[in-house]
Amino acid sequence: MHLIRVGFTKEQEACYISHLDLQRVIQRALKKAEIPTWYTQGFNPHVYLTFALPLSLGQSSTCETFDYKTEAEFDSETVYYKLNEALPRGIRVYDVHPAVMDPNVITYARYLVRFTGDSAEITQKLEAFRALSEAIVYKKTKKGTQKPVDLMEHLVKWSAEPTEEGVLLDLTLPAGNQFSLNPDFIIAYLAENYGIDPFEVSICRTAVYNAEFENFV
Amino acid sequence: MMEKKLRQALSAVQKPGRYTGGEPGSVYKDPALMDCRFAFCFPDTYEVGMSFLGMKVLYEVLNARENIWCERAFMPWVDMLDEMKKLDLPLYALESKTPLNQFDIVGFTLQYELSYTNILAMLELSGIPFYSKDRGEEMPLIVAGGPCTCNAEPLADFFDAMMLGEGEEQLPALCDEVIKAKKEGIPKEELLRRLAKIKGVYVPSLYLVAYNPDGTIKCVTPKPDSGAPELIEKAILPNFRHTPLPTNFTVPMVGAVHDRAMVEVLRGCVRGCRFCQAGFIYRPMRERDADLLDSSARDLCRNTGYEEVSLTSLSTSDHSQLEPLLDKLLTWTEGKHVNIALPSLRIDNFSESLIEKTTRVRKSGLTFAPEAGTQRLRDVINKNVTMEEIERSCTLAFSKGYTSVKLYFMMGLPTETLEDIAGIAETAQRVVDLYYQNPGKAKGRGVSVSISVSCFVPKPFTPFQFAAQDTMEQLREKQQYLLSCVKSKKISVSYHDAKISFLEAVFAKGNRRLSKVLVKAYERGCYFDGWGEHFKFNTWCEAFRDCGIDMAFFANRPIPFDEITPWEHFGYGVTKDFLIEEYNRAVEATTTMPCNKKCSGCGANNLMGGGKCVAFDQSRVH
Repeated sequence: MHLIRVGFTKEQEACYISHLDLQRVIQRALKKAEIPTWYTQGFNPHVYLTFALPLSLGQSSTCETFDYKTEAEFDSETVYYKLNEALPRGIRVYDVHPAVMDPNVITYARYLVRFTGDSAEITQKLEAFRALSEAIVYKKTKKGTQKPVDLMEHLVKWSAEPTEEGVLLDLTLPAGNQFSLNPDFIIAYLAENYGIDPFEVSICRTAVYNAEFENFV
Repeated sequence: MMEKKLRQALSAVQKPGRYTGGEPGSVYKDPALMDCRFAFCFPDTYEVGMSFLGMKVLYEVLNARENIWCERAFMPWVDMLDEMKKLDLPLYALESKTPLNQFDIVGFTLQYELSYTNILAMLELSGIPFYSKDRGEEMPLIVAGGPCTCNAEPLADFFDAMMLGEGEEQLPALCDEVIKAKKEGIPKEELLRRLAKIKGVYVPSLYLVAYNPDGTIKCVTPKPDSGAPELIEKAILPNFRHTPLPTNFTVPMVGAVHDRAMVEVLRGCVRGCRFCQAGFIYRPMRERDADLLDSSARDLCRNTGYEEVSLTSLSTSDHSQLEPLLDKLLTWTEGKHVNIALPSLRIDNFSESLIEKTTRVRKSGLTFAPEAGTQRLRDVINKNVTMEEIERSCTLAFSKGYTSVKLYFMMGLPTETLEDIAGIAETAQRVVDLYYQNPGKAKGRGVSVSISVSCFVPKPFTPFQFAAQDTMEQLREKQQYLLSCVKSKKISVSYHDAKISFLEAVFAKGNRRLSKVLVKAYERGCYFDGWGEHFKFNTWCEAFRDCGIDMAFFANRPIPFDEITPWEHFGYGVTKDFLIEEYNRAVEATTTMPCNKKCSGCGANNLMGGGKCVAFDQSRVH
């Protein structure tokens, strides 16, 4: 049995496919592409499919992955080609290989956050935010309670560059099973405290790392 | 990149994937190369519309043409509707995001009377005036098709043209006339006259309606020199048996109500149940070739990746080649993990091998529709099902491991008494008892029988079009009586809201005077009327009252045989004389044989050029 990891992008309209819907989309694409897949045994057999790190609705990504199993001979070129023919707009497979790392090793995710508007003004606001000693937001726990989180403790890497259209922020945050911080929290904080228009911000995940900042493969 | 307003709206609503397009199978073309851009509008939610086979058929037919781009639009759910109004975002087609008012043709499908206000909402959201008389040359042509055009009159003032009958050939013909008109630069008025010459195309503005003092119709006549026909006869495919089926679907990513591959195995129905509009307006019954069905189903599953294929029709088990077809399908479905669903089985020819063939991959629930609780009333409505057949089918199903059965009934049927209502509960109880008498029943599991009872709505072009609907009070009393008759906890009862069925009856049998009521009700906040939580019955009643129109006149008044109905100028093959004869037979509780066993001369054969009816073929009787 092979465990195959497929790297794909999720952009444009596809940003609005929820995680649950994405599972069905991928399952049908595998079927449509006639890629041999292993079905779970039992009363209601279905394609075995797992996703390493679900993406928030509305965010785009150039580094998503899903895993499937197969007992058949496997040729990455064929899977790559056929899957791309079967997938909807905005989802593109760029890499197919046997899974190397366990999803539990995922520790960080990197994002490119694009702010559109006056670059000097946005830069000033971002700098003011960075200078804070503490920025508390409340994160819902699985139990349904609100847990305080200090954003400042979790900005693993932060690098902002002015551009002609606004500001590009290269941001690395904790991600994975242990602790995850969604960049939406930062945007919401900036919107509330600095008047940044959240609808002029787009977020794209660009890399997923292990604890040593190696790409998740 | 999507524009900011759209992204802003999408970030604020539930299930934004309903408003983005881009699904597998959706069609994208270069707008600069198009002669005609068509917006196919479904006046209900995305989830409902994406379950609708007709849209998939016509989407494929139109997009097969190089110079036509057919896109889709749906009624946004209330949260999106509010966002769009707030942000001044016009309604757009999902594929190109082009606002509807920039299309050449905007076409609505009329599936349900209570979606009429959604049409107004969609027009308003697109900046398109409601009334055809208020729309200038710069506005798209607004057209409609679908079953409800068989009484198009309540919407007649809104549409430039309405299409009766089957759209596969008619709709491209309409598009061709529009393309021609654009090239020639002729005014809309002339275009409409040309459209009126296409088979089944009704141009309401070319007709005059005269009323009697009592509010009934005196006559409907084409305007002098309009060239429009006196009788608009529905369009029908000349060779349904070999008409291709869609082999690619736009596959929704946000779950649709029916999210699966569908092949239409036959069109029309031989049964002639007297309440059923579909059973009359789609006559004569025609089957599709079994080999064509098999290869289309296979292509469709391959092109979509669907895990289930449904054999769709009004009465799938009436296909004379159903079992051979299932055998063909089973040669490839199992290996591909595809399940076969038979959604509309008849109790009377539900067989052991059918169960066997459809449950090999996965087992789904069983649904039967006896429609009435006593044999007398089943004979009245011509639902030729006996208690023995119900018992036989349920026993068979239970012995095969089924533990839940859903039974559909109606109440408020013509000639109905409380005895018939009690019969519904008795029928359900009998099914429960059968389960416990069955030695082969699933071990350690109880049975669940759910009965769903709808309120009868008399519909045009059925023998019951002459009948009055029960008043809401009568229907509510019957519902209460039914509840009092159900003794077992194994039986669950659900029934429809009588108010919704009442409004449905008003519009089903309505006339042109209802256009202004629709506008008034919409302006007062009525839309999504078919969705219980948004149904504002009191607002509707006020709108009718303020327009001086009596709702009971349409719903609760029997129509004399010699009265001119609002739909008298439409032709569906079935003659009025036949409908009268069937009504009389109903009152006497006399049944009529299915078309494939004995032709009763309804007149539908004339749609195909007369002669022996295609639905009547002795070789097919099984």
